[in-house]
Amino acid sequence: MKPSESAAEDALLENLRLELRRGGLVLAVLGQLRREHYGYTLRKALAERDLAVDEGTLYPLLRRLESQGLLSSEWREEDKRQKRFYTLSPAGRRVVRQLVAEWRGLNVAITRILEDE
Amino acid sequence: MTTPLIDRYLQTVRRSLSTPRRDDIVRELAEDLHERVADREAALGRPLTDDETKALLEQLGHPLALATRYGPQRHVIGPALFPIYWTTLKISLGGSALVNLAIAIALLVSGASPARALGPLAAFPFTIAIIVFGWVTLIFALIDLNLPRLVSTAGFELRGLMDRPSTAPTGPPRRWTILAEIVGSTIFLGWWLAIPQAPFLVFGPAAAFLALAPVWQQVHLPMAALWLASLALLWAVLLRPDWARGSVISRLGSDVLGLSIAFILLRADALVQLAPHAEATTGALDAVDAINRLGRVVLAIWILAASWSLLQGLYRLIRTPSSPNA
Repeated sequence: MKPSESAAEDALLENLRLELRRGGLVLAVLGQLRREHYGYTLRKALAERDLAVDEGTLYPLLRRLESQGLLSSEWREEDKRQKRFYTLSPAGRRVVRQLVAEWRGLNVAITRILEDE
Repeated sequence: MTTPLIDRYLQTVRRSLSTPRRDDIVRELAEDLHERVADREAALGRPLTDDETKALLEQLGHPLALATRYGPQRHVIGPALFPIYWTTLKISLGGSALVNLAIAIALLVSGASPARALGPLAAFPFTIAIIVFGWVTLIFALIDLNLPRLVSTAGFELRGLMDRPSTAPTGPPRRWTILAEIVGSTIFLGWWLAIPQAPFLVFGPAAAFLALAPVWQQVHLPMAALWLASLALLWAVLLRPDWARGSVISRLGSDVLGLSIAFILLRADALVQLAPHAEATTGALDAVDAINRLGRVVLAIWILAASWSLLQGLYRLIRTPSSPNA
C-alpha cells in the first residue's frame, strides 16, 4: 500500500471511529447522569468505565443536552467550592429509557452479524 | 487556584464565546481546571510547573476551537476548520470594506457629491461583501469536505498563544499558515481572473463611471500565470511539510512578482480612468485624479514593505538547509 493510500485509510478510519463514538458518547453521558454529577466527577466516572472523554468535548455536550431539555443543572457548594451539578430532567429520563432499549437491540443485532463472519 | 497561564487561557475562551452564558461557561471550566490541578499536585506532592500547566491546557485544545464547540453545530464548515475560516472571512471582508472606504474618501475629497461618493459604500453589504463571503465559504467548504487529513494533523501550540518568542521562528511554516495562504491566493486568483469581465469587482457600483487604465491589460495575464505558479508551489509545500526551502522560495517568488507588477503600475500614466460611457464632468475627472494619486502613494508604500520582505526572504533562503537533515 502506498503511503498516500495508507494516510487516506487512516483518515477514513478516524472519521468512522468518531462517528461511531459520537452517538455512544451521548448515551454514556445520559446514562451516567441518572445519578447527579458535576463535570469533573462525571468525567472521572466515565474514565473509570474505560470511556475517556476530554473536557473540550464533554462540557459543550453537557450544555447542548441541557439546552435540548434532557438535563437540568444548578450551581451548588461542595467542599467549600461552587460546582455546577447536572442530572437527567424528566424528559431526559424518558429519552434514556428508549435509547437504552435501542442500544441493546442494536448491540444484539451487530453482535449476531459479526459472529456470522 | 488559578495561575496567570490558566487565567489567560480562560480569558481567551471567554472573548471567543458568543453566547450570553459565557461567564457561566468559563466559571465551570475554571472549576474543572482547579480540580485537575489540585489532583495532579496532590499526586506529585508539589506545585505544577509552567510546562506542566501548559500541557494540561493543551489537552483542552485551542481556546477558539473550544469556544466554537459551544456554538450551534455547523455543517458547511466543521468545527476543526471553523476558527481559521472565521478569521479569513473577517480579514477578507475587512480588507474589502477598507478599499471601498478609501474610494469613498477619495471621491469626497475630490468634490464628488456625497450621494455619489457614499453610494457604493452603502451598497457594500449587498454587493462585494456577499461575493467575498460566497467565495471564502465555498473554498473552505471544499477543503473541509476533501481534506480531513490535513485538518486532523494541523494541531496548535499553546506556547504560541501564551508566549511571545524572542526571535522569529526559522523552521518550516505550519500547515494552518500554508492552508490559509492557499485559500487567500485562490480567492485572489479567482477575483483577478474575473475582473476584465466584471470591473464591478474592483470598484463596486462606482464601476458605472470608473474603469481600469490600459496598464492593467499588460499585467493581467502574466500576473495570473505567475500567481498560479506560486499557488502550485504552496500546494507542494503543504504536501511536503519538510520542504522548508520550498516555502521560502514560494514567498520570494510572490514578492518578486508583486514588486515587478508594482513597478510597472507605478510607471504608468494612470491606474484608473473614466469609464467609456461616463460623463466627463469636473467632479468625475477630479475623482479619477484623486484615486490615481492615492493609488501611487499606496503602491510606493507597498514597494517599500515588499522590498523589506524580499530582503528577509533572501536572508532566510541563505540560512535554510535544502533538506531537514542537511
